[in-house]
Amino acid sequence: MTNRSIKPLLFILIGLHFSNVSAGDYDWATDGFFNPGFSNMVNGAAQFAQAYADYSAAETCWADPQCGMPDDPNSGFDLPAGDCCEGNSSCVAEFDNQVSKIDSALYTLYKNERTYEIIMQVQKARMTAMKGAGSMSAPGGAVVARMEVDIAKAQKGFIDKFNTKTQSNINRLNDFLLALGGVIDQHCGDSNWYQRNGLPLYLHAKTKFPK
Amino acid sequence: MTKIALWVWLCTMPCLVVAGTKNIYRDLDQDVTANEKQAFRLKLKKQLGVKMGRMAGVWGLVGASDNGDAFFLGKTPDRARLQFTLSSPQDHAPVTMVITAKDGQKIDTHELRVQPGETREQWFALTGKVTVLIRSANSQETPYAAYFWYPGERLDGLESDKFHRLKSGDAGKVSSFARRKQGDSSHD
Repeated sequence: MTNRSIKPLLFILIGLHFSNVSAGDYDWATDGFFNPGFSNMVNGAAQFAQAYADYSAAETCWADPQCGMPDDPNSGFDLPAGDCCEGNSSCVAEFDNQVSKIDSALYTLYKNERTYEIIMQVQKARMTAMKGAGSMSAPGGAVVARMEVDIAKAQKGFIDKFNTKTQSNINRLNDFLLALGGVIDQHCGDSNWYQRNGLPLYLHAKTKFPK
Repeated sequence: MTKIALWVWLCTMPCLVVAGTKNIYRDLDQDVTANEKQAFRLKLKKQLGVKMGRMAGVWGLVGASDNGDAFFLGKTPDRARLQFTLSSPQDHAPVTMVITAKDGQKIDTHELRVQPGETREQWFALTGKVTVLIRSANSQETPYAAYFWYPGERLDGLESDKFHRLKSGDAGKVSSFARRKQGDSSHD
């Protein structure tokens, strides 16, 4: 090996030596050296985020008398299967399968509604703070006026996006309600279940959630 | 690649390890300054499985010749709720973390202190430029772990009493939004 080719190799070896010196005896490479490790933190945050989502959905439901009340943990919408279906295990199984999809669709709608309220509150607070700052001087007022326009634009963008998503979620809910009506029609020959029980829930969602 | 560039690359590579979505800065070489004015910029990143906000972690070594590690977490014009966690392994020295939020002339300071083998987690609502300074409490060399989480503006907008209820696990939930009503005729 020539002197020319040895030099870079020496640099590499010296570099590796010094980069490891301060690691000492600690096993920094594993997540288990520290307790809690980063994975524990991620899991904790995921659980907190889930609790936040559950609470958000529940709060909106509790504020809607048709959905539930704060002192009732069994809040929500009752969907009658009827005696014919109740006596048939395969009908009950299919019915419950559709109800769990409806449950999930309603959870999403109520959760997103709370997110909407909070984001609007934050935007309103920002706008108020901005107006307060703008009233202090004329040049400041001009800057603030431009920023207010930006906030208003962002707000409109958020509302448009919210409505598109909400409409799609309501349509999804309706598809599940129609499928549930189909289950009762198939097993009990009752073609009006959706009209009596599904449609009112669909209309309730349609009038409550879009802005 | 020049020799100097190669040298720099080799020395910094072990310090910046991002495995998957994990965002851990490892201060092995005691290269992070204790000077808060030149604090190292620690970027919080989205984590797989966490639907809210961004996180970052630091595994570092302070004490002895290292006066401390200062990190700049970011600047927020609005009041932001952040979670700070500090941990010191067993059989090492106590560790302190001083959290400073500077908003113009207004300076808001908080301190977290952990004993060996202890972990503390604290939420603070902060405005302005947020920095943390982590030090060994008795100047003896000690490793530490610090974690930072900003869940996002949805949590910033939550009223204090509701936030505390959520933090303590008493927030409540609806067991089901739709269920099969039993014992009724299908024509009700």
